[in-house]
Amino acid sequence: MKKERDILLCDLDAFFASVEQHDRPELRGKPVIVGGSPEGRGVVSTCSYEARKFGVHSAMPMKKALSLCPSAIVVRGRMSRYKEIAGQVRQIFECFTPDIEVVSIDEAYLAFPAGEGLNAGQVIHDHIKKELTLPISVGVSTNKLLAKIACELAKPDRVKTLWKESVNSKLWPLSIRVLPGIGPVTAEKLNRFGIKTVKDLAAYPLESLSRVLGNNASIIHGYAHGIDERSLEFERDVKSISEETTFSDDLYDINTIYAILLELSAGVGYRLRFANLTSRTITIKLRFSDFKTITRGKTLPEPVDSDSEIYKITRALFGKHRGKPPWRLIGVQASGLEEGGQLSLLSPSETEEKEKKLTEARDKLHKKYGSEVIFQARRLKKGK
Amino acid sequence: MSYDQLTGQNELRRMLSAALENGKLSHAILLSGPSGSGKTSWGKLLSQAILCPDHKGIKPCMICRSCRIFLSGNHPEFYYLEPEKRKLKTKQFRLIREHLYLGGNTKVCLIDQAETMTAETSSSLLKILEEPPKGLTFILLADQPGALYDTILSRCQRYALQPMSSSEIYELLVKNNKADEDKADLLARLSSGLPGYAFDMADDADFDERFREAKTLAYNIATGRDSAVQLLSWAASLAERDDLIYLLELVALIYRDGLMQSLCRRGDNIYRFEKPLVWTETVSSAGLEEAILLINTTIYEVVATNVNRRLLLEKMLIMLQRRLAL
Amino acid sequence: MQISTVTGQLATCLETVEKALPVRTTVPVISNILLQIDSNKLIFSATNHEIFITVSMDHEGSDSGSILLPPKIVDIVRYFPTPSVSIDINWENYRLDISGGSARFHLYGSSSDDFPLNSVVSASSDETAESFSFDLSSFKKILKEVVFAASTEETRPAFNGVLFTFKDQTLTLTASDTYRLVVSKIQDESWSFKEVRCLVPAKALREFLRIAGEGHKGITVGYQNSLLSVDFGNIYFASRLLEEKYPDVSGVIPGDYKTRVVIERKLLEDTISRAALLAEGKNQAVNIAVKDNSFEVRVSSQEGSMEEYLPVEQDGESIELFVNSRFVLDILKIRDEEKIIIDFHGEGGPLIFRLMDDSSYLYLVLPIKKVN
Repeated sequence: MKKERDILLCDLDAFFASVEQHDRPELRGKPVIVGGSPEGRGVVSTCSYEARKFGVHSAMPMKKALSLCPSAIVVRGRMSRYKEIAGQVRQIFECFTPDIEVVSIDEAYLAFPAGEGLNAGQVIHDHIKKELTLPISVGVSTNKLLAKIACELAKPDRVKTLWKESVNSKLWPLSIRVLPGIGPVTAEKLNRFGIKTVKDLAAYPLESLSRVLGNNASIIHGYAHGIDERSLEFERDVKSISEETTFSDDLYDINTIYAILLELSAGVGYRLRFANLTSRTITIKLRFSDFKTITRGKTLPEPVDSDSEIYKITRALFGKHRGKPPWRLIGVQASGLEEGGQLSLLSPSETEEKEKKLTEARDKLHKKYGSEVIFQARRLKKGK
Repeated sequence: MSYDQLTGQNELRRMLSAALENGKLSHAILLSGPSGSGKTSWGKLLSQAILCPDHKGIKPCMICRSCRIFLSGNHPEFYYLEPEKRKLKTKQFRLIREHLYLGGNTKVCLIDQAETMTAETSSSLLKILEEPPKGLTFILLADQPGALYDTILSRCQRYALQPMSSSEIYELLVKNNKADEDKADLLARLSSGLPGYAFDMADDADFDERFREAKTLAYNIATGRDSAVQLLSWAASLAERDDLIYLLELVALIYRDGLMQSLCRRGDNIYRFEKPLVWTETVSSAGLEEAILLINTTIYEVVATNVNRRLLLEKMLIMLQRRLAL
Repeated sequence: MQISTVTGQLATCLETVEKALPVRTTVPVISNILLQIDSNKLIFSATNHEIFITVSMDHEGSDSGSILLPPKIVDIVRYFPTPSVSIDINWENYRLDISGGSARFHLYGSSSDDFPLNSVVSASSDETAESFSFDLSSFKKILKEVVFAASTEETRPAFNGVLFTFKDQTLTLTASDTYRLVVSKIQDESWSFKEVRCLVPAKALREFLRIAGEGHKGITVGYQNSLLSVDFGNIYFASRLLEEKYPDVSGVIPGDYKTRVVIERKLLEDTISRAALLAEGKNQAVNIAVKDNSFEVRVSSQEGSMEEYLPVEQDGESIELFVNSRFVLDILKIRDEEKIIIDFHGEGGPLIFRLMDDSSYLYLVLPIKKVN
């Protein structure tokens, strides 16, 4: 029997931009954009609410953002600073409850005994305002889904509840896109059946829905009724180690991918060994140029921690699931971690490992062949 | 091929000799140059010189025991790697790897077509290059040095082979008894400055026959003497041939020769040959250039795609004739 | 010229040198066996360019010369039907006629000019050269007690070797695969070595153990010109050395123990063998605990669990840790002492196996870090 608990979703509003405004008072009240350079494929990482008024949103190409809001102040991201602040926020959360699922740097689910959620949300909100002067939105409910939607409704910088009783009035009028698992493609599909709002979805017969959504139908149908069985995943220990690379240009060359896989495998392997862990499951993540992203894993009979073993597996996985080029992102993850590494006489000497990483990173772009010359005689061999 | 037989490449010869004499030769050498430019011959010569205790610059003494067993293919400290099934695999590298760490002697590891190393092989090689065992020299040969890892490139002393002049190749062919003077002259012109190709053609027993065919084809197209129907039947018979690529490349070489002729006629007279291989006087140099590109594209499509050969060839022949014969 | 000899004796010689033939090589000449003939000896040699084996047998004759024998000759002689065999060599064309009874083989040998003999046996003098005499079976025993710990992985070439350190009256052998370490010392008052270190490929030493044969006889072990050689009468074995620098391992051997137990070696071997039946994964972990003069061995895995206790003499605090059962079994199987000492150095510190009243040998194993 699952205990009834209140679930909170705490989301730091425009987190990176807020940190910048917190650190640099002169930026307060101004449109601030944190992101890459306007040249190349720079995108908006976060923007302050002032900038959002101009229609700027995250993941928008920087060029476009600046044309919408020419007065915006563009700031380069300082990830280490954001992590530091996120750590302080986390400490505040921990004062209130040990049950925390960190979703991302600026988002976390918190669990409280039933009935205490709203009060706790209010206190946490005020506390973070006071201690860190950061805006935070808090959604309060009894499961993750409703907490998330409540949080959306709370934005910016407020605390809102969405109890089961108000599903009809508050959730149903919203677009189906608010539900987890419904991306633009699925939404498009559902729209064709006349399903536009959550209410439409809730009213749609489950059997017919299965034909459209397949296995996920019953879960998503549940969401539409405000039912969400997902439990919080508390981060007691590290569950996986992963590294990934997004390419600045779409990549077509398989050899380059292999080189990158080798590098990522070495990175993951190094971190495994450093933490004295072995991994039973190796997964690759692959994003195609249409942003379709897949993850494919392999569970092994024997846990591994060596670069070459990890590389062998990732390479095989890539070979099997590589699909059509170009690729845009590739990642390697080790999970199913087991503690218990055989200790070695040689503690991995850090300088040596660092040097190794450095050299391999430089290989990242296994360069392309030179252009075809006017006459390439290399094929002029008998029997070829 | 011995030192005396390896003519040309005077700049390379001078630089390598100087490096060897002054002890400035790095433990990792990269020789680059297009396929057929003589990298393997030079790589082997350099290996032999490094191993020879009495070498003068890059010239091995040729009489000591080291030189003798090198030339008979029995030098135990000469490790030669070339791709198996188009790749240099870790498996191959692993076989010799532990020997490279054995002490005592001068060792040379020559890696032919180094750009075909797999990522794993590159990474094993890199490990050795980072902490090279004493007395070991790596010589990497590559057509496309850009395809090597940056980290490997940055650890190599780099030398490039230059294309050779036709007269140098002529001399090389004659000196090595590969061809009589007339044929050497022809092959030197066709070789694009790449001695390796000149040698391949010289060794091909059917060369004369193929060359005659290629010449007829090139001439007929350039003069427009074939009707459309005849072109189509050419295409049909060419499509069936095993040596199609070879033949097309010869045709392209013949046009290239024509292009050189027509360019040189206008300018300085470096080109030492009087008679063009085929009569191309009415053809513009732009037309020849296009023809060469067109043939190359067709070759690429034949090799890399599954498109119906006959259709490709029909298209090519008709377009060639249009470009050249009007 | 003609050689007539006992088939069995010739076969033994050839089978011994065959061990040095390369499995695969790009140097054609070394896939052959070199035969050198002088007035009273036949000398067979082969090399894979890492190790080098020479075997000689007595022979009455007047001729001399040398020839390369194709490797097929080993099996031809091995399966020869008659107890004696005669081999005719035609020096003009290197043709070999092998005959006995009604059997007759023709083989084509070749010139020995290109055989890389002098790259291995160098005549030049070497200032650091050392040599000493020893008993074959003792030397084999000492090697066996060390070689097993050397690494067979190729990530760090130095650990594929066994380090020989000559100094004063001591030869110290060191081998490690980075998870465990053996240090074995041999001393002899008649020795006075200069300080020399040489790194011998463990693979070569394993090959030596295979060909060395049994029994007590005097051997000469020598080091010179980047070679380690063992000369035992009619067989000469040499290995080239690894040019790698061996890391200094002296720092990893801690001084004082926190817990010491004295334990019956055979009892422990049997116990750990049983425990290993359930140990799993790459680490083959078993749990070891020492308290109240009891040595406890436990395994708990997906397949089940076991526990067993052994009485020990304990000195020092209680301890509990995980260790790779294979590493423990390796040492227990290779030693033949009745009792053995195990020193513990805390939970993350190494286990050191020592001999009673004998400080010439130690085996160190690092534990598995495991938090359950």
